[in-house]
Amino acid sequence: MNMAGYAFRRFLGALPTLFIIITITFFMMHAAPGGPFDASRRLPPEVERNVKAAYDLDKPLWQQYALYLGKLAHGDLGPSFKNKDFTVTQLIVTGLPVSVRLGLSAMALALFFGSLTGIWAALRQNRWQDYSAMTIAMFGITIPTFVTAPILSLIIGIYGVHLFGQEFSLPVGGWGGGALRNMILPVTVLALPQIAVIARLMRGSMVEVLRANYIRTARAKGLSTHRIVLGHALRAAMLPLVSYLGPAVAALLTGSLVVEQIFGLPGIGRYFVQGALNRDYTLVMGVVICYAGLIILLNFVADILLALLDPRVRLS
Amino acid sequence: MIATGSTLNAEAILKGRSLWVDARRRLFRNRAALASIIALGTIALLALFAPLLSPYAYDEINYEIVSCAPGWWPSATACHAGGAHIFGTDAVGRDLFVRVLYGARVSLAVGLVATLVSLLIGVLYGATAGYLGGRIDGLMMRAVDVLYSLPFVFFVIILMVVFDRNFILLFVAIGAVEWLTMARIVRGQTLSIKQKEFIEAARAGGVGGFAIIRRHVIPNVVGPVVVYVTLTVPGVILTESFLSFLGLGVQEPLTSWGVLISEGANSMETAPWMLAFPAIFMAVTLFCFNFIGDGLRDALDPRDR
Amino acid sequence: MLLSIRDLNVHFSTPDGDIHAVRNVSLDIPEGSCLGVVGESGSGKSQLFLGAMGLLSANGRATGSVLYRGEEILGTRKVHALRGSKITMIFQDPLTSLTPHMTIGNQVMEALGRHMPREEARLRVREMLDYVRIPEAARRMAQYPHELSGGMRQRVMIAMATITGPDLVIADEPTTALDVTVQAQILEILRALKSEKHTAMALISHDMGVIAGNADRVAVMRHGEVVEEGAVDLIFFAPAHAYTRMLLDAMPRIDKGEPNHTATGAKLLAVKDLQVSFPVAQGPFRKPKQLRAVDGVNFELAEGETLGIVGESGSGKSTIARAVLQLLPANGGNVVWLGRDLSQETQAEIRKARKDFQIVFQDPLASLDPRQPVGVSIAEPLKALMPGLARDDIRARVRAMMDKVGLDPAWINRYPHELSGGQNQRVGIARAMIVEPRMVICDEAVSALDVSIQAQIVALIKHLQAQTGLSLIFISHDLSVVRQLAHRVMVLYLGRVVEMASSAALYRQPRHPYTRALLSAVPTPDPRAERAKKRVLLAGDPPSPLDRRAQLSFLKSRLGEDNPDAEQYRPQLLEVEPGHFVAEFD
Repeated sequence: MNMAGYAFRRFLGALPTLFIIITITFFMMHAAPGGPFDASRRLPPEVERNVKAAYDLDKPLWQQYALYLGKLAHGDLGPSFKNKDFTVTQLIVTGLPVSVRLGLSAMALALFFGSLTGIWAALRQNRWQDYSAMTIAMFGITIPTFVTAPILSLIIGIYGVHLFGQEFSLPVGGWGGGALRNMILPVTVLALPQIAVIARLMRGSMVEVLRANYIRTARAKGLSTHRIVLGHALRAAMLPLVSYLGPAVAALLTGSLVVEQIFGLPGIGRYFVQGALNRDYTLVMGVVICYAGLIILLNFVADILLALLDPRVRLS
Repeated sequence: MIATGSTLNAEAILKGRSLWVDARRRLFRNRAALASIIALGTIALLALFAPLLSPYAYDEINYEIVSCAPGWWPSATACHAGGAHIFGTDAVGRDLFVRVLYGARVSLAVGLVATLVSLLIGVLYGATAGYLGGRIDGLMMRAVDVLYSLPFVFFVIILMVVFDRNFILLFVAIGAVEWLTMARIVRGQTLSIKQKEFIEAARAGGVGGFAIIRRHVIPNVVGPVVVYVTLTVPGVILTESFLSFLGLGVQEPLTSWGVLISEGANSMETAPWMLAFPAIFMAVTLFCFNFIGDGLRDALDPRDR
Repeated sequence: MLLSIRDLNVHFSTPDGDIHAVRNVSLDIPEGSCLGVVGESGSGKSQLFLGAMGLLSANGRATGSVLYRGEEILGTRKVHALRGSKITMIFQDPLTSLTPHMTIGNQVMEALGRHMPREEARLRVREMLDYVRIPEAARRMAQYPHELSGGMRQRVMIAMATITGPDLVIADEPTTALDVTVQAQILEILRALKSEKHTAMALISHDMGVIAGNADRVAVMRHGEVVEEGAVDLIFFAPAHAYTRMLLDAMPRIDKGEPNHTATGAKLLAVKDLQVSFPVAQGPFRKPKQLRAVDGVNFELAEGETLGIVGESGSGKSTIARAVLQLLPANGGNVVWLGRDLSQETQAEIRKARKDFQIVFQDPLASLDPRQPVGVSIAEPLKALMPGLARDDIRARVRAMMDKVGLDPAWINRYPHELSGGQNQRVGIARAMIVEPRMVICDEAVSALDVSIQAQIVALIKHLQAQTGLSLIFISHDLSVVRQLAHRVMVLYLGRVVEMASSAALYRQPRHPYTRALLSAVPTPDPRAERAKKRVLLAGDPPSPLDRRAQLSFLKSRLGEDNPDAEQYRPQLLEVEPGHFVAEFD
């Protein structure tokens, strides 16, 4: 079967998924007690009625749902209830690039260092290098981002300034228009737990693959260690890592909510928490759709990569 | 060989070593896992008997000793809390020791209850799908795939809002999200065990469908499930702490490690003990769970890893 | 001397202590000759050569001395240079021994090293694949291992091991995972390698027959030691060591033995036109094809009789067992048990009837629940099929049964992992026999066992049959084992019977070309006979069972439309002599 056909079929399969997620989120959000205009000062009943009518909130739920889907089909995510001057699309367009840049940089960092550490540990299985790498990785998994973030900011921001002076130290907050120096700390904080997870994953699968019979064949052929690892073991060892791409996005997302808050970054996560608390239906929906789309996309990429890496998947 | 029978004394029935006994022996031989079991047990006991261990109540406010260091804290700080405040006090003068232990109660309870919920749903769902197989299995697992694409944190946050931060429902909400992986593991195991020859042997021996599940499938699925349970608890504790950090967790005056850590992080420069103690407790707990989980996995599936 | 191994020891450190896998072994392999190394599982025969070549797993350690043309190579850098160029290896399972995500062309080319221009290397690989008789070599080079059959994969392994022009090829159970007709083809290639290229060979095998036909000298190993070493004729015709004699005696012979005379009891079982097919997925856009695993099989079984069912992988022999026992739904035909048509009965009625027919499986460990003591496993059919028995009664019966099959009743609480393979198979037999069935199907029941254990289990089965007057269906790929037990033998080819006759007639006068090839392919533990043997080799791969034309492999004259999916004529069974049925062939 050809690759394009496979890709197209997987893409079609993703559409219902997205639709179901939209539906679940919509009804859950509306099942929450209260509405977007409860929290603020009590509006006069007449005004409230008008406002509700303007946002279609007076209609029955299923009608609201149908209206929302209709607009969505045209790419309109609707106005934000709380940030009155902005549409949801505008908010996402400003916030998403920040979050995505953070996330992708962290992911790239984690993939690189994580796999490297994992392979390194696997090649030294059950020796002290392996044990120490895996213990450090355990730290990475168990210490939450919101502990590492302030500690790193303290060290870099306060002691760093003492040592190197203001200019050469890293800023401990703010976006700075996405300048590299502003990104280093948040990306590092975000990447640390993922480096740990990926290192453990990579080590486990590498150890497994190195035990395979075909590695013995490769050794019997007289190949060097690095040719065995790169040519014969790596591709198979990467399979679990590729499957982890989707869940990794979800994990990075959790982290980015915290990191954006701590470092005061204008990402999408902040909008979401505020939106959820304020019943800003459209904003919450918009963000969920965005991220669900992202996760689906990465799962999709993972599937394609799996098929490329493993010729057996392509056939069945 | 053929003559080995009958010669032996029929009364001397030898005791067999079951796989469980073997696994327990291996687990206790694993020093990291053993130490973790002891450490975790200690923390659990401390949390259980928290009210008896300190003269202070967890919500007892004392504005005279706000953010004071414990008596033994070395560096020069604004004040030292006297008496039995061995971990110092928090921003409103409550005893940190007793609050860390109360936090342990909440965090461990969230971890355990949410895991139990996920276990219940996951095992039922996964075992059903795996045992029925075919079209129904395909449909059920497709549903899991869909839910997997849901941005997990967002989902929990919405649930928190929907349930209006109800403490108990928090458990359920997290559990309701965590069951997906459990269902996948159980289904995979069930499917692979279903194909084993000993299931066919039982069928040939006239054993009915339900008895096969009870006697052969479930005991063989337990191993990987136990391992995953031990690894789910720390995950849930971390999730709870994230929610608390975002202000969506348990509410004052009740506390959890997440709440304490996020409070501590805010005053890290002036009162580092407020971060240090809850963070250490939580990290140790998570470490223990992970070591026990790894140890269990190695003990149940003893290959050279 | 090409390779001299002196006082080689191999140790493994495991969590349960040190394992001394190879003990003080000394062997010599002269230029151009073949050393056969024979031994049962756990004899250390594979670890010996892995140790010598520095290929042990991480927890293994080899000490002693290995000299290549007089030069020490054990644990030196020299061995790296020799490995894959002057000394090469062929492993047992060609599917797992080839890298799954690399084309076979690249894998063979890799063995050549990097110093050769790519075009020249490709040419060499193609010539090599031709040499090991891989058809359409040029196209095959771009394929992945899973796209090839087992026999073709093993040819790739051989190509990989020969392309560098080695002095010594170490072949570790090179044919064990393969069907007997494919085994014959692979052994033919290895023989050609030795005679045409004068490559020395170390042939490691558990099969005395394989060794007899190929080795110049033989070393017999047990528990990590060489118990006897000598020229092949001496080992086979004048064995000095008791263990060697035991191995030779235990080896089932296809060319010897008194025929088992046909028992004539009342008719127990009649299978009529049995058909079982499975859907096989053809990729996401195509309709699944129906694989006809069993395609119209008829046979009967009398009280006290043993019917042997013989066939290679994919012949449908295990499917027949499961369909007869109603463990699989049949698509057509009837299974008539004592006049009752089981295909018409309800699940509840079939469950009750199970008391009369039981099964013994191939893999003794896999067929026992690892979490139950063996006593519980044995008691299980008793509890299910004879409800109402008192606890003490069940216990007493289990213990009596254990005694009968040669197990110590004191082991009633032991777990399968605490017993050996042979003991576990006795547990499997006890479980089948405990409900006093009238028929037992043995599905490859001795195939996973070492020959010495195999002989004991065969003796046990015969003994039980003589005691109870039980009927047996004995399914095996191994014609020699079937010969020891069966009164009548049925030969299957791709889901259909090609020949069915009394054991005496079938082994003496096989009629069908497939039966002949099958019999000729079985190696006998007799070096002289092996040397003199005229081999009837089948050409190429066994055809795909999905290809409807495959059944006409021996009746090409009746081939209709040349299309894998078109319906074809089915060869009919003709009775050439009373009781001797042969399918039509050209």
